[in-house]
Amino acid sequence: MSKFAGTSGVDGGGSARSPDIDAVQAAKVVERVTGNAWATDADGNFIYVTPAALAFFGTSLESLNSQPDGNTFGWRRVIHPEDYDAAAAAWRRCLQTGEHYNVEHRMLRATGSYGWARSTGQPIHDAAGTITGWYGTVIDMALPSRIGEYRAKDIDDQLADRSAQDALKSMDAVHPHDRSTVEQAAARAFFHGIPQISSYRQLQSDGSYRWVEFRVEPDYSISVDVDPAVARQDEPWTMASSFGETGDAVQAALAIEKLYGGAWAIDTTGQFTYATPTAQTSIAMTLEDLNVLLDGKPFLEGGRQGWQRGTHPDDSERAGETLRRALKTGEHWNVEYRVLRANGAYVWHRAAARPTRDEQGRITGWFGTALDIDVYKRTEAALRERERQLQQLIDTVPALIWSTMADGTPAFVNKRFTEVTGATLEDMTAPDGSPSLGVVHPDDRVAAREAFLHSVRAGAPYIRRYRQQRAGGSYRWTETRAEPSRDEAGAIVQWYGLSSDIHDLITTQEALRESEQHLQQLVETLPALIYCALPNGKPIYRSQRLRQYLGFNLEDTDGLGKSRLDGTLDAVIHPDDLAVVKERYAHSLATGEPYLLRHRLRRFDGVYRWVETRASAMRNGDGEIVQWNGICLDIEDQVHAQEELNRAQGNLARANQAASLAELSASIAHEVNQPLSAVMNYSSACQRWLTAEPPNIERAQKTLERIVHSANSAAAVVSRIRALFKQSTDKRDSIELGPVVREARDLLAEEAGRRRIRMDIEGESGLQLVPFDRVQIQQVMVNLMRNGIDAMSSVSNDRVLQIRAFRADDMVRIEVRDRGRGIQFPDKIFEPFFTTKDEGMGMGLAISRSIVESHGGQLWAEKNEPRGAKFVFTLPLDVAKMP
Amino acid sequence: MHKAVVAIVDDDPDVLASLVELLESAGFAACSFTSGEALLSSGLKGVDVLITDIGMPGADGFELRDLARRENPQLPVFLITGRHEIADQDRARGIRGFLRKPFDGHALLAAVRDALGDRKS
Repeated sequence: MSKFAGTSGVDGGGSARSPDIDAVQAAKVVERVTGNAWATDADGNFIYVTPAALAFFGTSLESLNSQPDGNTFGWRRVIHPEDYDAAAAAWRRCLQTGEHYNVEHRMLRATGSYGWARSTGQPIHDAAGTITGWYGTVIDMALPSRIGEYRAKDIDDQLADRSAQDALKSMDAVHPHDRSTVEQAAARAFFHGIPQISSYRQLQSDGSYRWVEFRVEPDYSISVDVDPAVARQDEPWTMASSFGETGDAVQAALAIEKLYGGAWAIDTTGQFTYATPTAQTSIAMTLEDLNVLLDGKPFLEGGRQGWQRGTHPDDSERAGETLRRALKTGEHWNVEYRVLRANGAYVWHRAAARPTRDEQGRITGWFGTALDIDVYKRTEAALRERERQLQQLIDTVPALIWSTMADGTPAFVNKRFTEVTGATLEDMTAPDGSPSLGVVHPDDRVAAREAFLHSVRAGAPYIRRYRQQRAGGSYRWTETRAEPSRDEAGAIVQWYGLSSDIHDLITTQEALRESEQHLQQLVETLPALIYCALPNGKPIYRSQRLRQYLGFNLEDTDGLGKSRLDGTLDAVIHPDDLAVVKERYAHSLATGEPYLLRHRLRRFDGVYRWVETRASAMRNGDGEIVQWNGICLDIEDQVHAQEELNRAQGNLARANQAASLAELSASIAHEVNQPLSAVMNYSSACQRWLTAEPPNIERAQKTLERIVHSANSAAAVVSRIRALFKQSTDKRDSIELGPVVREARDLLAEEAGRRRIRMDIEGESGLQLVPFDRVQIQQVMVNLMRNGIDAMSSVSNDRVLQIRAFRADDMVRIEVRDRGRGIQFPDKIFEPFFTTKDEGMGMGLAISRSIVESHGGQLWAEKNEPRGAKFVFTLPLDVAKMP
Repeated sequence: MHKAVVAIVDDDPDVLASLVELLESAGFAACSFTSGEALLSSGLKGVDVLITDIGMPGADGFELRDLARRENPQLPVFLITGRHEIADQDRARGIRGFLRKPFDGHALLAAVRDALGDRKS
């Protein structure tokens, strides 16, 4: 508990001398009223600062006093740089002249930002008038300082049209004794943002002084003439004849008075022993008026006291009762009530009183003051309303809103935030006060927190997407943005944040991305070389495999002085294939027709490999080509396999030809043997007719004729065979199909007859084929016909082999039908070495097919009606030569 | 003594005619048929020797021989063929009276005489 030491009293002679106390004690008195205070020695070195304030600024007396460069005050760091020079200059001047220090400047706040504050200080003199120290306080001006809106209300009726500025324009009009009072009132109005009412003697034009009450607003002031009300008291102000035990209280009151313009001291029964003249005059009461017991009953026993007449009837009882209780219990007295002004108006005041105690702790008296809070009250109410509305707005807006201090410490979350996430402000705040981001998914939290703290440090807007907790325990994707709010000087005061649910957006995007990724993976892992090109053919994409295959990517062929397409083709296509590739590719690009080509492609190692490239156009809704997509399959191995197969087939064909030759030669032998045999028979007969007794010349003659005939038959057979072989050496001759079919029939006629099979041949005449290998086609015919014959070996009747040849479009269609048991394995019969027979190698159909296909035709098997098999092959007609 | 009757079957008319000429020149009575069916429908009565080609539409030489032997087991039968691969077949191997075209006419006549002599003796 603070206590004044070294009391020397105040002389009763009508002028209060500054109490002889040291600056620290004075500061502590002030501190009890305003919450903070400071004291310095005569040189301005801090000897006391309210400990809480030191802690708040994280500083120490030593630090405040240090002068790093010999010319800078240690408190510089808590003052805004722009304001420091003025403040420092004022302080130096005050230290020199003893003037009151009264400076407005921006000061570092708890939020880390600067706020306006008013710093006041005054010297303490010893008995000799020498300054022994300074004490003062700092008042935060964050409370309403802009109350212009109330100005009109305040000044209208009561204040007439006096110009307020005029009143205080010059201190010259103020009685010299009252000037400090006026100055302090003006200062209080400034640093509290609360209008101050006081009174002073104003110099009139005739040289006399009149008492005026004046009211000082934060940014203007006015004066009202109250002289008639106070002029009756000639004595300027009154003190009790004896302070009694209230000496300490009076001294404290005097100290307070210096700061607040008005103060009072009362004894333990509530009797005033001191009241500042201004306080007295503003309510137009003397000490006597204040102390008179209105109903003859001591105040402590429930009686009303004179000062209560100066309070509003509704507040009077309460004010008295609370003070009475404070006096009895020693509790601090804090009460708000309306004070009756000399001009008859009631104005809200906040009054406070604190006890002084002796060394035993016994209360010796009370000192107190009352401040005009009327405007404050009204402003506060308005602010509360505004704040309530804002709060309502924030709570009803369908968004998660929050704010933090400048350093990121969470300061607020709106109602909806808590409803949606289930987290309160406490949940969002880490034990050390930093933002916990407790609602952020653990996997995202560290990064989000890092990003937010980075924004806080850098003052940069914050935007982040992460999964945010929901009250039910689930998480949803959320986008959070935060922007700093800055004061006029640009310093960050707060951060405001907004979180919006973007889960559906994100999940849609994610699904899309996944789908894209999936597709990409698909394309990249397909065992094929894939590429895409623009409608003009410019390559724009190659799959990983294609890039690896080629050993270079899209851009690598750029800058060769040709288009990317040409550059690529020149680099990768085998020189022998290049022309056809370019031609076909250009054709597809021009027409939109699919592209299909086999060619050799240069691999990264320089080896050319056969590939099959297919590309087709991708079109948009309007049918326009937007892209070409291509696939390239390495068919090198297939090509080799095909070559191998072709070789094997060639060998087999030769083997088959050899086999067929054996067949053929047997047939030829039979053909030749028949006439030969006849010739020999006739020869023997002729010999007998000639050697008979008598020789039968007539029969011999006849027999000889028959010999000649048969010999001619043999010669015809031989020439037919010669013709056959002669034709086979002329590859691909242009003859009609009919004779070829008939010859085949002739070749098999004997066999068919022997096996009692009828051969029916029908065909259009004039079927002119494109040049073909007659022997090969005959071989096919014979093969198919013999198959048909064989197929019918196991059926007992209706053994008919039908051969038909007719035109179908630009092809001739040759059908060989049998009435055997049909084909059991239609898919397999064309495979080499497949056979259903006991004899033969099963090569016939495979070879036949390859022969037909090499002629540009096709060979296949069908079911014959009503039974049996039908083998069909086609050959291209020479349409130009067709009739 | 009447002439021995030789029945000749061949689908090739030239060959058939030449055989008839040959056998008639040797004093046999030859009757010719262009198919086995024709012979069978005419009957084997009075036929002393049968000469038949193997490869023919309808009943071939082997079938005809078997049918004829069923009627007359003692009937000498000569099989002739122009297709040597048939002569090489298992069923033809080791058979008497098997001739490949072209053959020596005198040899055939001698064989026919032998067969007739064997039968008589």
